[in-house]
Amino acid sequence: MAAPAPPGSEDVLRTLRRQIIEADDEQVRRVVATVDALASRGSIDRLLGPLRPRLEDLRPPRRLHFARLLFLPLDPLIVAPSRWRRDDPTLPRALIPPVTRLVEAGLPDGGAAVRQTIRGHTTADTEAISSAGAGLWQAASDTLAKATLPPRWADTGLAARHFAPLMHQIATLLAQAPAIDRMVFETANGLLPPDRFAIEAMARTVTMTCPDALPMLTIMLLRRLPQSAGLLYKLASNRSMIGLKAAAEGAADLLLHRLEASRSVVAHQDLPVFSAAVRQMAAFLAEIDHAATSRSRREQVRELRQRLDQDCQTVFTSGLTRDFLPPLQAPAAPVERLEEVARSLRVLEAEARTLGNAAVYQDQLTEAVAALETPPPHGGLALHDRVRLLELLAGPERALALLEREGDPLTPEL
Amino acid sequence: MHTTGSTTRDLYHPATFQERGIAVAFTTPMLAGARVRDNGRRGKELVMHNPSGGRGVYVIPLRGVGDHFRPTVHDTLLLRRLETLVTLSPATVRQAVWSIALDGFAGPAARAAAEAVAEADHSQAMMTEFHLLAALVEQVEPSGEPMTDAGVQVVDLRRRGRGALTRFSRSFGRSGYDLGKALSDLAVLLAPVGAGPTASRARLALLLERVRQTRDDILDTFTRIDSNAGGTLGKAIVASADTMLSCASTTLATARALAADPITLLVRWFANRPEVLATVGRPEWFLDGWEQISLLWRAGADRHARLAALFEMAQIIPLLPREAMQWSPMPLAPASLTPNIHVASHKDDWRTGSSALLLIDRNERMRAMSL
Repeated sequence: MAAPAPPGSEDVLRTLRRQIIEADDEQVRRVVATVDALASRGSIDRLLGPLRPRLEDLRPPRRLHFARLLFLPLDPLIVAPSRWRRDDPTLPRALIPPVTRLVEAGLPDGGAAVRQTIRGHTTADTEAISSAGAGLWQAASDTLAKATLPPRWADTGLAARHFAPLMHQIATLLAQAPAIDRMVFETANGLLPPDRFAIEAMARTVTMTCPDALPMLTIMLLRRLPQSAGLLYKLASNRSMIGLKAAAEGAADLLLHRLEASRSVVAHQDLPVFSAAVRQMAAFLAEIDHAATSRSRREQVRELRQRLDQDCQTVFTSGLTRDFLPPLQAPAAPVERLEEVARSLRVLEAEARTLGNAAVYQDQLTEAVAALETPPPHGGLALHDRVRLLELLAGPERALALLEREGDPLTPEL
Repeated sequence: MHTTGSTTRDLYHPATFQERGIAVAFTTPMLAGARVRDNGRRGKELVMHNPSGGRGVYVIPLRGVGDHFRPTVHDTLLLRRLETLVTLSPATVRQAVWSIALDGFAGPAARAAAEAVAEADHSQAMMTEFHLLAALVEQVEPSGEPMTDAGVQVVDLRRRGRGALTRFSRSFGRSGYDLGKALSDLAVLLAPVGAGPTASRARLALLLERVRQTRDDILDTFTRIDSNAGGTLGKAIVASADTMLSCASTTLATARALAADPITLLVRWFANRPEVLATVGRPEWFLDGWEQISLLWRAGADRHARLAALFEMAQIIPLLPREAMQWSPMPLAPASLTPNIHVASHKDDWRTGSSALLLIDRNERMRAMSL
């Protein structure tokens, strides 16, 4: 709970909050990192309040602490208390403190071992999350399933009658969190599709234990495993999967609505991170745009794909003109960095091609390709470095042609 | 992708190691697990898993690889280099792979690694020659000062070595020069196997240890994490690794024993060189293809990435040819020759398009980590 603010600090906080609302993405990331690094956040924590919708877009790595780890699987469901409705597939943020206290009280060491494991880690450390999280989520589920109304429940602003159903939902969902987490890493390199039987078992368990939580489970699944959307629709066509079709449609609606409301479909960030996020988003949009989808949903998806394509073009152009071409012309070009940027640009182009006009990217690459195909002045990039950069941007055929044109004729392989 | 209990080797089981071919560290994702072999009249060819994911293998002439796939520049140059090799063996293929990396076509990190590897190979050969010469001096002059001690000076060794070679040449019927040359050639040959006190730093000893660590790490991971699909794959990889490790370590010990007795080694070298070459080469044939498996595991940034890599690792588990039963000093059950799992990917999305670019980068980083 936030400590009381010293006198006069309210005005300062108000000014800071106003400035933060107007800050650009990079400044927001720095603010979050600074606030997260504080040993005691007190009223400073309130600075982040107005930023929450943007943090949802930007997803900067956050310092891992007990409550954050506990609620990480439920993150896509959390909304501001004012936006929470009993029948929505969401959870009010105000739940976090009392649920955290209940879970801590239910653990034999009060959560000390978990805190020790995650110390110094962030939400980007997937290994720390799953190794500490799997046990915690299961234990929390067991504790919350039999929890009784805690003394300070009124602090949440929620009526006492909401306590039992909310705990039931959270307990049901947290019990599935380790399985979802496992599926995310098993499918991470794209070799394996999500496990149909595991998802079916999950959906059946939730339907039997707490049907209200099924729409929430589908949101959690779609958010972390967008490629599972098609599978969910297939399973929903099975008559025995009562409620899954409505749950999947509801989850897709909610996630699409959130995307429509966000400033950018995928937040602009480092090229590799942006490309990975584009890939996930493109997969999600493709999966929910299935044959039986409604005309309005299809239109919604089309608009989002267009916006995503625009985002990709903006990031691609800025990456090429800011991070690739100027260093390429520099006297001592940093080869490793150039390769990294070239690779990221091509990855982004490959992802973006599925969304819109591939020619846009090819046109932009022409200048870079021409620069690489022109012999550099003395002291410029070595031939093998130019060949590799050209391969990354224009493919191996063009790169080999350059090598064969300019290579040492005495080199046996040419 | 799916996994089954039986294997592709129901349809394909090479009789000899040469027929199985040699694993090539290509960077093109579609060429993962490909092996090169010499088919005499038909020339050199690549043996690959069925790219469609079905059973059986594909055999493609080396020159035709570019017609079926889209190799990276690195791989095109490597294919051309392999075409020119007179002898195909794990050692010559390794040299070809490093030579392309040294030219810079596997990236800056692999280039730096290629320089370090060349240096390490050279120094291992020097140390092996030092040990062979010292052991020979002790055999020829049993009453002299021990030469295999750590404190022996190089100048001293050279002087006494020349004397020992001259004395031995008289009884052996070969010139001192011939014996010196033979000893140098044997040092190069035995360097990866190792000899004397530095044997544990030899390349194959290090590789064996890496594969063993990977095997242990896989087992350890599954004691701490619950993954059904990963667990099945992990067990299959460990089972095949166990068979290979026991064959490789025994044949490595046999090869290393040759270096302990230089007089007998020289006699055998002049009497039956192919037999010495075969004995020394066996551990590397057993280990062939396992470095890539180990690297796939080690390249994973965290446990999640390593578990995901299991699917790729299981696809390229080398089967052992029937010849392994003759090479292995202990009996090998026919069932242990084939991996007890078959992993097929029905779609190639995971290694084409943007994924291919990322996998090529990963493969180049793996090159920089290899021995």
